[in-house]
Amino acid sequence: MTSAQTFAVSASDTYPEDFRLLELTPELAAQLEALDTCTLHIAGRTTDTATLIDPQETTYSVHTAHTSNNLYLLTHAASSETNPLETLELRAKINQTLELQRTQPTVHARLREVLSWDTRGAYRGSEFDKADAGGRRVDDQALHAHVAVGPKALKRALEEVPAFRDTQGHWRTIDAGFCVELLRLLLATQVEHAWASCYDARLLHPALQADLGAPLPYEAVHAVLARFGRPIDGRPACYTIDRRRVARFLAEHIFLAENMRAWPAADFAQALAATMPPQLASDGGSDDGLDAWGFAHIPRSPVRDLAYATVPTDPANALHAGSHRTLLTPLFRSLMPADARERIAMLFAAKPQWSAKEVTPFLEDLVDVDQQALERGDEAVLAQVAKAVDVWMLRFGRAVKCPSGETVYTSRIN
Amino acid sequence: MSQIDIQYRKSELREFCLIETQGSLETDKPGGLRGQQRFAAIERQLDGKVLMKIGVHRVEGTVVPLKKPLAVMVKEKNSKESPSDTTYTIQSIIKEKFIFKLRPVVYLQQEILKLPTV
Repeated sequence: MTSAQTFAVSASDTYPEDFRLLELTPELAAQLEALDTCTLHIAGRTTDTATLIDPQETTYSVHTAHTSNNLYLLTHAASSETNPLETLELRAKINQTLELQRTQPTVHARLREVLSWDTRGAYRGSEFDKADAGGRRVDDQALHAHVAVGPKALKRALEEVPAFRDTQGHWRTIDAGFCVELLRLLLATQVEHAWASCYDARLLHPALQADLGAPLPYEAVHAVLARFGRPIDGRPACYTIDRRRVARFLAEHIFLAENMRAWPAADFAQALAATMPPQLASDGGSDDGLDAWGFAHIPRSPVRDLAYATVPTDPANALHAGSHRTLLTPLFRSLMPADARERIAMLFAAKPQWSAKEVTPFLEDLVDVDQQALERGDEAVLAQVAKAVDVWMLRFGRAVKCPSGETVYTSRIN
Repeated sequence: MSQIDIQYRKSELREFCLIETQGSLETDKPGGLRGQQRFAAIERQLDGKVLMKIGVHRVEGTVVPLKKPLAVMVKEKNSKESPSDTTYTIQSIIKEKFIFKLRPVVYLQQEILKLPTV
């Protein structure tokens, strides 16, 4: 409409029509305007908030907002010779809009929940159960619906579980114990055949099957390699094993096996070293953070997002904060809420004071950055994460200067 | 499980106008407003104000840009080509609205008695 215009108003023959209004974020609106065509997806179960996924795989929770005012939609009507005025046609009367709120979905927890559905039985009465009472299997469509994230995020999460798709197209998890056992077999087979440091799933699979003397899905071998390794560019199905990933996996299961009890860091390091496959044993010279377990080293260790470190107060030994004094208490980031405020409240409930280095591993997955670049240690991404974490901690807590000059964060609630 | 696809095609966008009122548009005629022709007039003025005239009533409003644009969606009939259960199409993206927050004023003198306003 241009300014200084007069329009006649009529109502269409089909009034009121069923239109819905979706409130777009400025970023989403700009994204749509830059494209000629695109599709937004809304997924979710009846027991959850609906999730909207845009073409860049950003996720938003969808909420209904009711308004006491009336919203009327009108469009231009076809002009006629008898009507000198342009006419607007009344099409719909609306009292609610759909609002979007950007979210970071709890992918891993949801994924594990869905993948374990076929072993646990009926899944809390979702329509998925009712529709498929005969065969309880999770296929791509079910994953996409129940784990409402984009395909790339879902693929990364499936690698980390790990999970593999069988020949019938159904997703299956690999038991943690079998996962470690398979890894040990892979490492032993690699050494036995004197293959190079590159782990090729296509070579390992037949060798493992021959050793086991039993069928072994190729997809399971590939899933374990993807879980613990890094792909080699240009060489499909080839990986290099990452010691830190293996250590983190083993560390997580040590905590779970011991009922999430606290460990002295030195004892934990010993338990982890005992569990590590011998082919991946530390030679003391690597810089992957597996050799130092003092208080200051925990934020860089494989348990950086699995546990927090404390030093029990003992005036007689106050100066000694080595690994024999440091206590590791498990606190899994993967089980924390996806909301920054709730997560920070949980962190302060666990420990009253956090330094920036200690708290960053527990919040960095909430920052909208390339997580793989973060894992590689990209300087720009690290700075972005540090800034975002500082903003959150100041918003939901407060900063205090220690006598040492270091800034620590505490809760606003005394 | 439920999945909804929202299709956006820039070539198929139409222009919509959004009006927000505190009251509602009603009529005593059977069938309601459906099919009623030229029952009101909206005048958009140069200073960003709008004036809506319905019979003897005049209500003033303003043009307000939306902080968050609104996408107008309509549900499509189930298509076999679409893998989802339900499909919506975005028909427009609205960036401003006419909001009428004041009470209507009755202009009896002009309309009925044909007397000049005092």
